[in-house]
Amino acid sequence: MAVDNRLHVEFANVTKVYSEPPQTVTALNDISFKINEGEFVCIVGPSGCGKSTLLRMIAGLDRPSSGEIRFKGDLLTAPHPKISMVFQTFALLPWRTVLENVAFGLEVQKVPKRERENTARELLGIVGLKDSENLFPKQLSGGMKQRVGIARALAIDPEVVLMDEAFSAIDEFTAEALREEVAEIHAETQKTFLLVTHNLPEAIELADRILVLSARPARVKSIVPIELLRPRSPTSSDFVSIHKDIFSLLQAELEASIMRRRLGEIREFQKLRDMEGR
Amino acid sequence: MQLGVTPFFLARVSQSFVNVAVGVSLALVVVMPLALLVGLRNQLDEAITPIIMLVGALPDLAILTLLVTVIGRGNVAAVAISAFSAFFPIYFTIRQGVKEIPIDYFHVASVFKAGRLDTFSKIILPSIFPNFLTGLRLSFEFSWNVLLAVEIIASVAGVGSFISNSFQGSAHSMTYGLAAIMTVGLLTILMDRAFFERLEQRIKRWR
Repeated sequence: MAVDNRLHVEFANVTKVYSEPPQTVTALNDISFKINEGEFVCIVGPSGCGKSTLLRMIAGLDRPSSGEIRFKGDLLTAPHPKISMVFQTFALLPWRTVLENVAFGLEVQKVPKRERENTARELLGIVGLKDSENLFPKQLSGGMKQRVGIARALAIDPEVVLMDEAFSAIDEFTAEALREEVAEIHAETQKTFLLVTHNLPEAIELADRILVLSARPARVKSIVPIELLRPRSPTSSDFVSIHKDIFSLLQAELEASIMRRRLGEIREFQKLRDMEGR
Repeated sequence: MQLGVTPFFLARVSQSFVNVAVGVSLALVVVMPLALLVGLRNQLDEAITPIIMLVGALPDLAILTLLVTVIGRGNVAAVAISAFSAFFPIYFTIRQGVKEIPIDYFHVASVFKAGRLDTFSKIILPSIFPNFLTGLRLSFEFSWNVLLAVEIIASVAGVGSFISNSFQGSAHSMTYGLAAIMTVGLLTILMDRAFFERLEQRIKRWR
């Protein structure tokens, strides 16, 4: 069998079970999918379905209970130097200046000071924060903070950029501008991007493919290719119809999960009634 | 006479001050690693902290007065007293500081592949620095007060015993007691302004 050169990240039958005795919760159930190099994949699903767990496992922050995650064919068991992450909470180190934050990854990799500062400055230029390098995070707005987060993620020249709800803690106008910039960065760098989001229009705007997960325990419900031309207008009829399709998928999932829970409750109730009857 | 007494009471002030400084430093050396470990490892915390709380809840002045009857009234006792009373504020503030480090900071360390040493020096230490400073400040003030009290109660060598002795003498010697009190006050303010305030200002830049 020929090795697919473009295959970048691969999930093979990944299951994640959290056990906190006496309870065990299956967060992810037998997840398999493949992501090619340079793809922008968005992961959507009902809240609490384990989308972030999935991303954290690629980052090496969490490990599957069973199954395999591979990066360019190699098994991922720890954080990989070519896989970087942007956090929902920004996670900037408040005692470091903007420049020092962006240079953090290079600093711990022992890149000489001048070199890492040059790289950091270059990236601050790309995210439009050239003049803010000496500010501290507390002096920045949410949007600016996430720009720093993105610059920090890119500074180590990753091949995969993971974004965990990266735009959801930012006001909508700023988030929209930031999404456009991320789309540009993706187009220019051709790095692989994975974005977990609960914002469906955001996913449609950015993704080459959308991975739709089911309610917990999450399975791959559907993988939807988005073939709209960029830049994508959320008011175009194609956009609207894709939105409608995926939304109904999610809604069906949500209803199914509510039904499952109700059924569970009914069973519990019946059990209780039977026990009382005895 | 006057020329002989003035340096004497200053010597007593500095004797106590040095004892407090040494005691607090000693406490720091013991507390820092302990509080860091306990902050990072919940199981260790559950095993150790209740014991420390229990010891901390005992009436320190009584214990320390008892300690004096065992190890004497010299500088060793004074240092031990300072170290003991400095222990608790630092322990609890640093422990709290470590527990409050956002989990995402550790994720940042992992994702960017920081080693153990870098995670310690570039994430944990700067994160707890504000708490460290608060703890040190509290410990210093607390330790200073407790030492003076024990010096007075149990006649341990230092400015405390000098003050209480001077109050039992003539009006003349009482003036020296009052002067010693003022000096201690000034010293405390000086310490605060020259040392702690400056460090606090550094934190305020980013906090």
